[in-house]
Parts: sequence; structure tokens; C-alpha cells
Amino acid sequence: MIGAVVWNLALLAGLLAMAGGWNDGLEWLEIPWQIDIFLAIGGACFAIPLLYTAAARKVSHIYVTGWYYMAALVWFPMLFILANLPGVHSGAQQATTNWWFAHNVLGMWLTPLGLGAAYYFIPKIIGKPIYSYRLSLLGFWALALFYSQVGMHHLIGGPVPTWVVSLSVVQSVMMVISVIAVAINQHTLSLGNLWAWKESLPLRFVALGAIMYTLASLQGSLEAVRAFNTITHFTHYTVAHAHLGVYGFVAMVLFGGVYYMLPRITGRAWPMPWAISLHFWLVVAGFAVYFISLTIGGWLQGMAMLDASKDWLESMEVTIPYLTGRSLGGTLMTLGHLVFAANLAVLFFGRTQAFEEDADDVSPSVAAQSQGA
Amino acid sequence: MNRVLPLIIVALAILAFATLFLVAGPAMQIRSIDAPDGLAPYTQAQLNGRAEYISQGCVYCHSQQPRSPEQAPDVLRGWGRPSTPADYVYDEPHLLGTMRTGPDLLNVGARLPSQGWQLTHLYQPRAIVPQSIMPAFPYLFEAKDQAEDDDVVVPVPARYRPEGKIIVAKQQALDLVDYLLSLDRTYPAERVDLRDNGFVAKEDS
Repeated sequence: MIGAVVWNLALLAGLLAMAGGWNDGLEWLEIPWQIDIFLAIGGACFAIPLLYTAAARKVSHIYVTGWYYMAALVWFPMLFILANLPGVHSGAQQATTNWWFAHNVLGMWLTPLGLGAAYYFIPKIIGKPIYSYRLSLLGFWALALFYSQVGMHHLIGGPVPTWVVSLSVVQSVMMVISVIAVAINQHTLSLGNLWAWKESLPLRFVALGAIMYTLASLQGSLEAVRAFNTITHFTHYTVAHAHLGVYGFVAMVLFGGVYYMLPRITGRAWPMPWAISLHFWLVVAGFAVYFISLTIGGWLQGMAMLDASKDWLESMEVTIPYLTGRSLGGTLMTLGHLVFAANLAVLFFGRTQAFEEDADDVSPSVAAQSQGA
Repeated sequence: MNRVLPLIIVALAILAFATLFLVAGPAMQIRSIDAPDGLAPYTQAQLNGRAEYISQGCVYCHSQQPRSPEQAPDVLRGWGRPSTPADYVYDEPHLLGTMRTGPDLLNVGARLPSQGWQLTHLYQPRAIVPQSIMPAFPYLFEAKDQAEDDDVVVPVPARYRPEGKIIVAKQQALDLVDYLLSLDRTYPAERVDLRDNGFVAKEDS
């Protein structure tokens, strides 16, 4: 509880600080380090009890989700604290720390949170097991080993030594191994049970999100290749890719997780099940418009930037219609989020019906679809 | 895999291993670099201006890392020679940037050395580049009826300022422009061995 309150207050303080112009000047590390201290405290309030709970468990086996979550809970503090230390880093060396942090926040914090959740919810909702234990081991350790070293692909062509860039490029491509292992485990299960996508709205979010992880990561491996990066660096193409990972994957999985968990935690059914579907379609349509617009716009931008016969300004002008697409897509996404917020508000503060898991011959979570979860 | 402590220890060890390569290794190479002769430390006004650059979020549209000719025509755009780690020894935090919604700025002080241009452009970018999508920063300036003795009057064309008023730069705008004009790394490159050129340079190109 304390952790949740401290974390959210610190985040609010960070947002207000940034909006007012006070930031640490580094992408992914903007929140002033003075406020970061409170985020670290709040985070510790979650992490320590969770790890202790895992250590004190009565069941011997740790399911794959547990590996991802425990690892994330120790990786993130190490990344967060080292990168945010004031007065330690500067210049081009700080740039390498910056991108070590930023890409590891994606690969060793957000990705484990999302993958761990997908590994839990997909089999739970469908009622069938994950394909291969060995593949889940491979996926996890390959992620740890390779993902941790990919960060310098953000500095291709930049003022840092070639050896560290090349190292990151190679590790970025090696990630394909981890990605395919996870994909086999998760997508054969979800795509082999398409009936469940119709029956369970939370599954739709989670399974689609998990597929987006595969796509985003394969795209990422491609973008790390120097020839490709030369075109896409500094463009909206990268922005689209980043959102495919953080929104298309992580946010979608988290939406699904919330839709699944809250009725079970609160004992209340979702008051507006139709709104879950509306949320889903708004964000899917919105994000599709967003992603496609910025991907095309960014590519054209990159090609124009490399064309010495064109003035640089043309590379910016070519993006304008696609930035309009971005605004349209983003608006649809925002509407979807407002729908989500409305459902949450009524769930917590309004009148609801009691949530009951149905004890039918189908998986209980699926039968509970009638109540929107 | 059923034991918590070994899992955590190995996971942390793997990250530490990566950190050795991505953080410690480059740090050992880069932090021992001397400042180039051609690079002076920032003055206090320039540092204040740099803080303004950070506060206004300029890094989100502008990079400060020209690429090498083997990779991209950055130098042909007047953005300067490829930068090396030596060019950033006084930069804390670094402002390398990741987007080119606007042009690269590492050598903007050499390319556009006019204070009047920079102030006008900050006040209203579209006064100079009509197609620009850069935000305007009028709040870094003051519209007055008459200039006082110490005021720096910005040469904004009449149709871009309120009727009958002149535009005077506030201290933040002056400091920011001081910083921008200090962005000049045209001295000869040092430690070129420590930059990445995108591709291996070909013999015949």
C-alpha cells in the first residue's frame, strides 16, 4: 500500500516537474533525480515483499512468469539507480549509459512484465498449457543474455567507439532466438484456440499484445542492422517502432490483465462489458492508424534525409500528412482510454453486480464472459 | 528452475556483465580524453542557456551528432564534420538527441552566428521559415512600447509581432542564444578512432 501511494505521488510530482520545465535532460531519465529517490523507495516497497513472498512459498515449482517478474524486480533497481546517479556520468560516456538504461528498461523491465503476464493469462484463460518448458527456459535466459547488451544500437553512426556499437548490433540480432522461442510458446496456444478470442475480451488484449511483442522485436532486430538504421535513425519510423513495443505490446497486455483481474480482486463485475469491446476496437484501430502513418512517414523522412540533392527541410515537410495520421490515430486511442477510465470509475465508485466465476465445463474465465470478464 | 536466490544472482550477474561492456568499457576509453584545444568550457551564461535548452525540450526535435560522409550527407547540409567523444567533454547532460524533426545543431553557432537571427527564430520560427513546425517561444520575450537602454530588441518583422510593440529578449532568450552560438565544433576532430562510422569505410569510395 505504502509503495503504491509513494510511487503514484512521486510519478505525479515527476509529471508536474517535467511539465514545468524541470527535467534531468536525458531521454527515458527525465524525471528529476530528487523525485526519482521516491520512485526508488516506492518500488522497493513492492519488490521486497514480492521477492520475499516468492522465497517463502510452499509450492516448489516456479512458473515461468515468476522468473520474469523476479528478474525484472531486481534488474530495474540496478538500472534505475546507476543511470540516475547525479554527478557521475557526462558527455559521450553518459550517452552510452543513457542507452544502456533506456533499452534495458524496455528489455529487462517492461518486456518481462508483459511476457510474464502473457505467459500467465493466455494459458489461464484458454485452459490449456504452454507448449514447451524448455523453450520458456531458452526464451528467458536468451533474453537476459542478449537483450542486456543491445542498447548501443541507438548510437549507430554516433560519437562512441565502433566496437560497442557492433556488439550491440550483433546482440540485437541474436534476440531473434529469444523472440521465436517465446512466440512458439505463446502464439501456437492463442492462435490455435481462436474460439477463445471471441469468448474472452481480456484474452484478446493479452494475446494480441503478445503477438505485437514478436513483431516489434523482429522489427527491432532489423532496425539494429547498420544498413537499415542509416535510413531510419532520427526519424518517426523509430517512434512508431517504440510505440509498437511499449503500447502495442506492453500496454495492450496490461489492459487485458486489468480487465481479467479486477473483477476477481474486487468481487465486482465490469459494469459496462460493451465498453471493453469499444475500448479494444478504438485502440486497435487508433494504434493501427498511428503506427502505419508514422512508419511510412518516417521511412520517407529517412530516405529524404539521405538524399543530398534534397534540402533537409524537405525531409520534414514529407512527414506532415503522416503526422496528421498520427494525430488521428492518437485521438482514437485516447477515446479508447477514456472509455476504459469510465468503466473503471463505475466499477470502483458506482453500482455493480457481484462477479461470479461460472462453474461450467468450459474454462471458468471464459464462461464469465457474460459479465464482461 | 525453482530456486529464487540462484535465479536472482545469475540474472543480476548477466546484467552486470552487460554493464561492463556497455557502460564501463566505453567509460574507460572516453573519460580519459582531454578536452580539445579548440573547445572552450561553457561560460555561465552559456550554461544557463543550456539549461534553458533542456527545460524547453529542444533535444526532442534536434540532434547534436553529425554523421560521417560514408553514412549520410550530414556534412553537405552544413551540419559540420562527424563528431567524436572529445567534442562532448563539457556536456553534462549530453544532448546528442534522437530525432531530426529539426536540423542537427552541434555546429549551429558556426552555421548561423547571428544573434538577431537566432532571437527572431526563437520568437517566431515561421517569420523566417514559413513551413516550419517548430513551436514559437514568445514567452521568452517581452512585447514593449519602447526599448530601454539595456534592452536587446529583436528584429522581428512587423507582421509577426503585436501592433505598435517592439520585441525585447528576456535574459532566458539571451542565454539560450548564447548557448546556441557556442555550438561550434569546427576545430579539427580529435579521437576520431573513438567514433562509429555507420559502415566500414570503403577504399574506393
